[in-house]
Amino acid sequence: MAKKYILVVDLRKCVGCTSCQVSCKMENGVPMKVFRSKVDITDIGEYPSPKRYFFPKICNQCDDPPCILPCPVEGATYKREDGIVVINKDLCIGCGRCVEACPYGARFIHPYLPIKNDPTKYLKEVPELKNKKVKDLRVADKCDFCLHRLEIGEEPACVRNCVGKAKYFGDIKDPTSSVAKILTSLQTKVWHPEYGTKPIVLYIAPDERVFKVADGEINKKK
Amino acid sequence: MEVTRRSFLKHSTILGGVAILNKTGLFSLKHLSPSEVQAMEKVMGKYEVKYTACAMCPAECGLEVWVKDGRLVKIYGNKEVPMNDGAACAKGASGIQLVYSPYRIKHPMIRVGERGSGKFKRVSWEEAIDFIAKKMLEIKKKYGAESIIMNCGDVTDRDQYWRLAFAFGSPNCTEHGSICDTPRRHGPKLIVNGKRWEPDIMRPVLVRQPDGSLKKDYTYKSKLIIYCGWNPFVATRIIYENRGTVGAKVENGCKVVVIDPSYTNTATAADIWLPIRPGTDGDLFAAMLRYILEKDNPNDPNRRYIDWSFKKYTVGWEEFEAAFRSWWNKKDPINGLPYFSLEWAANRTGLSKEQIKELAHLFGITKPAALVWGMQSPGHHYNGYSASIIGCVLNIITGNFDAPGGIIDTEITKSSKGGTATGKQFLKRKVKRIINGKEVEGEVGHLHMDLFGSKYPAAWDDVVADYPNAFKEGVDIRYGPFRGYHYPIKAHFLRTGNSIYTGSAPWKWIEAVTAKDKSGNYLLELFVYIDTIFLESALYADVILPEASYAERMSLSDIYPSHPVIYLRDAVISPLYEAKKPTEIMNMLAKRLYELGDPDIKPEDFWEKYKGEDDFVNEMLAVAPGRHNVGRPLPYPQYPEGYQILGTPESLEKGEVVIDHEKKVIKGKPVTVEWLRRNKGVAIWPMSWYRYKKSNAEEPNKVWPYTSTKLIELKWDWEEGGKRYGQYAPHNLKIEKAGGEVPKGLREVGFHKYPSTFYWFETKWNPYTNPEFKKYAKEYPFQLICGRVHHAMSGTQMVTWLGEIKAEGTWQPLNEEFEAEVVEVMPLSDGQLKNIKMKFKANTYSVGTIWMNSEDAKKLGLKTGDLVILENPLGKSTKGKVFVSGGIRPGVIKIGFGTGGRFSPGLGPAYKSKDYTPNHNMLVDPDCLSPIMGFPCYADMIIKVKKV
Repeated sequence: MAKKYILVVDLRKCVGCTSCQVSCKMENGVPMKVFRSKVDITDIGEYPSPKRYFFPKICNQCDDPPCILPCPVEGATYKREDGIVVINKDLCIGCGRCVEACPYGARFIHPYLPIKNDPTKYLKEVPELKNKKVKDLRVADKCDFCLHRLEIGEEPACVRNCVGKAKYFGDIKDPTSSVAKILTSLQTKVWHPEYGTKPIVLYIAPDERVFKVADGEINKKK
Repeated sequence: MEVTRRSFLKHSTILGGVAILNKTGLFSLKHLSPSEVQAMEKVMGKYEVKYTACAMCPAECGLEVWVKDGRLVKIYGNKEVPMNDGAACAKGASGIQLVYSPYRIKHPMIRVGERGSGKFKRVSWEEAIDFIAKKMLEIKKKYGAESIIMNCGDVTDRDQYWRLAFAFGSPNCTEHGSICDTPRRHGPKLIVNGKRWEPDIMRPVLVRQPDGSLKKDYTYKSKLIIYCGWNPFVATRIIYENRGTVGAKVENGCKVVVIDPSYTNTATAADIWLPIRPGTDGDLFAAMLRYILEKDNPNDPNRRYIDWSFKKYTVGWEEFEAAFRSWWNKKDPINGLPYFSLEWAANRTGLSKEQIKELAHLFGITKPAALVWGMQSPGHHYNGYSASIIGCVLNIITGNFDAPGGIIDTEITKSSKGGTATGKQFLKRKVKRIINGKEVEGEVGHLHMDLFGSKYPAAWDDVVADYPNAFKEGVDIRYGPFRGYHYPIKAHFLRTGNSIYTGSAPWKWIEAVTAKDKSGNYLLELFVYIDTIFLESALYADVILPEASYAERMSLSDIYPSHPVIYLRDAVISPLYEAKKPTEIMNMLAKRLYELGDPDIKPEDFWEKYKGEDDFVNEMLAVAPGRHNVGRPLPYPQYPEGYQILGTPESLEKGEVVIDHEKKVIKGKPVTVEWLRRNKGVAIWPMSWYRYKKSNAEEPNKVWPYTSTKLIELKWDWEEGGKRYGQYAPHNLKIEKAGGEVPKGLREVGFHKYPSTFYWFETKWNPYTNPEFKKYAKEYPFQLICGRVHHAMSGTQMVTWLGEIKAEGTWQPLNEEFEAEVVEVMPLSDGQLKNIKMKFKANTYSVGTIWMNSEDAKKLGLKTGDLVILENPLGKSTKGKVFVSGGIRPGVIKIGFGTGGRFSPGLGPAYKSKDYTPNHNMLVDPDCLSPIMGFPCYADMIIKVKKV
């Protein structure tokens, strides 16, 4: 039976250390200024009742991903059976439509990775590429739950290095997995359920204000 | 958010079709392409997994690193190490940006311009070592070897350098501990001969089971943790306090209280945040103790605060209590209220009587509990000693000391290391000095600038107090055999530290290291800087030696666990550029000194003995774990209780031991580098609690703690049967033998000798508790405090991934536009790194900031991002941008330690922001040194704020 991965983030245990953000950079060689994983930290409230929210964000690997359909190249981005939304960098033509489409800002154009596919084949469907030189086009990038680590039986780097032990990752179809156990006893929430994207990144969030006050996109769009 | 929502809506029409496509199976569901999988396998197969210890900060977590083609590429926590339990923090994970930083020191250098000019020429190792050795011998001949200070800064694997200095004949070896948190550690030192008390929340702990097996226990027992001026979430020295605090809270319903003028990241996990006035933590503790003593009632379950069985395990309670109570009827001159009463504490702390009462009650009634005080409270104040002492007493009398879920002295529970490798045996060597025309003989150790000097003779634990004053004035030996001897300080070795910038006021340091005699020669004749990175202090050095980074050298972790654990810092990659390992640097310098005729350096003590760094580390390991078979459950029920334990966990488990009944030692096979490498780098011995009790009877075991009576001591100097006992006794003996001459520190607070039990004096530069400073309150309305920002500490700001994160109000993205070289991972070249010049827009990169209360800011017309000047009554100032929030007590300003004003180009991006970021140390009073240990009072200052 195919696996179905989910990630549960327990905000009761997040200590705001940002290790997930930096571990992701280290693991995946994510360049400066762009993020596969990012912690939003927001201060609100007045003395003596201030409040600080830590909101570790990552691609939601949505079950209804809004980023896939806009892609003009078949197979350049897709949702795997195990739930992970990935990019095939051999096929991506760097048009940036998926980046625009993600309401969470989870995707970005990689500043260094050139495209491998020939974009001229798609000019009819993607007129916005007409004025761009092929050598300037870069592929889209995003979190893939550290697929390369999953393949060798390791957990994603952000889960491994989480200082507060606030992240649980595993196969929801396996009743013995930590995620399956947690979901039987605890309520979880998702970031912007109203978008209807059906995220598989779930949050244990006793204070729901976190979703409103620390609401920035993972990557700012141009 | 607007943009996102719009772009989302733009595609929502397409989205409508997703569900349909999904049902028809057209939705792309497939695995990676075969070429992708192949590429991945190829890449993953080439990694080599190694185990080592981090040194990006002094938490020194256990790491699992992946090395490819000799390059460090991946950093994770070592799952076998209970300190960090498989995790690595942001800073730890960013280590490759330091190891491969373009700002590293690449080769030895000798100064060619004036000190501070930053002008150096590249030289060979031989030339640099020859220069240093000749100068050392010249100084030794002219002034004596003791004129050399070996200051081993912030990283604790410094034994090679100490060994060299001790053997050469200088007792003046130190490390960052001397300026770290000495007042905080004082209570534990006096009471149990310990150091740092931490809550029992390191999980897992390895525990002996009734069936004899060992089990990793993950359950939390704590019900209440009070952190006072201690912020483990951001000042991550004790890494397990991150997961342990939230773990105990979520899994065991533990309550968390944070006492801190600022709303720290740790405070975000608190049930109660008490924004106390700076410098009054001891006041709060004293009021808690008085309340508990007054209201305790063993017959009332709601007032059963004190576990009176503590008296069986302690000496000196009567004396302590009497001295403490003797203050109760005295009136405090600043507020006319009786000392330690609730109203007195409310007046001084700025908390309400109700809050203090509730806290005292909560702590008294909740068990198990831990009252923890930290670096930022007692640690940084002139009178932090009393707070630290009362903190210990509160934990002891409530039955929480070394109780499951209570509080643990991590110093006397962790594994021993170092042993004879450190070279302290050389301190016993006999030397002669001429005093008033007479030749006097003593030991090298008797020349120690503090332990026998005129100012701080109780500055124990390898503390060297009072520099840079000593650079200017020299050392007056007033105690011990060399009484009356004076010597100057002529050489300063600084290894992995940054004293110019962090060791109290930089301007004073710069004055001291650049002072010249009449002929224009520097009074300090030699300044050697040894490090991987180029910090401010390097600018003032005569010689710079590139040391191998933490990934390139071998040593041992220096950590504060709840039971004996030790792990290897392995050399996981070869030294880069011309960097050398400490063992090699020690041997090179020793050999050159020997060749030049130094009589004290012997080949058999250095290069003949330590052919490689493993030889040195194996000697350091010979004393591990060195703790005793005590506590409940007994770590080794198969062996005699109370005996000292030595050797690998494996040999102890298998019974491969020799038991020496005379010396009471159980000796297994020695822990070695080779053994550690076979065991994922780590050795772990079992946990136990109540280590001061017999395992099977309610009485003291008289083995642990390691005090003069082997009991918990609440008095510190007394005579019994013609013998002196207590931690202050040896120091008072020195004073008595010197005809009662009172050291400078004690004179300052009006003491004639070290007190025999509870004492109290006020802090400095605090207009709200010390009448002497009341007059400044109006002109200088803000108290200045500082706190560590783990991510931005002194030596790691070239790491740009850490500039993309922020911390509290002191490390915020308030930069101006700048360009700097950064290390980027190049995905196309298989994880290779590349240095790239990069431009950063304004307000996108974190820099040191000044944290200020929003009401205060409003009154001054300030908003976040405004540039201000902070000025103290000494006329010193610093500049920076404010971060305004409700998360800090009005009248308090906080700056991160080491975050701003970075004037070494070796700091990369941080150097670019030096003109608009604050340097807290500029405002520290270099002559305000805490009276017992001579520690700079980093958080005793008042300031005014001026908008630029």
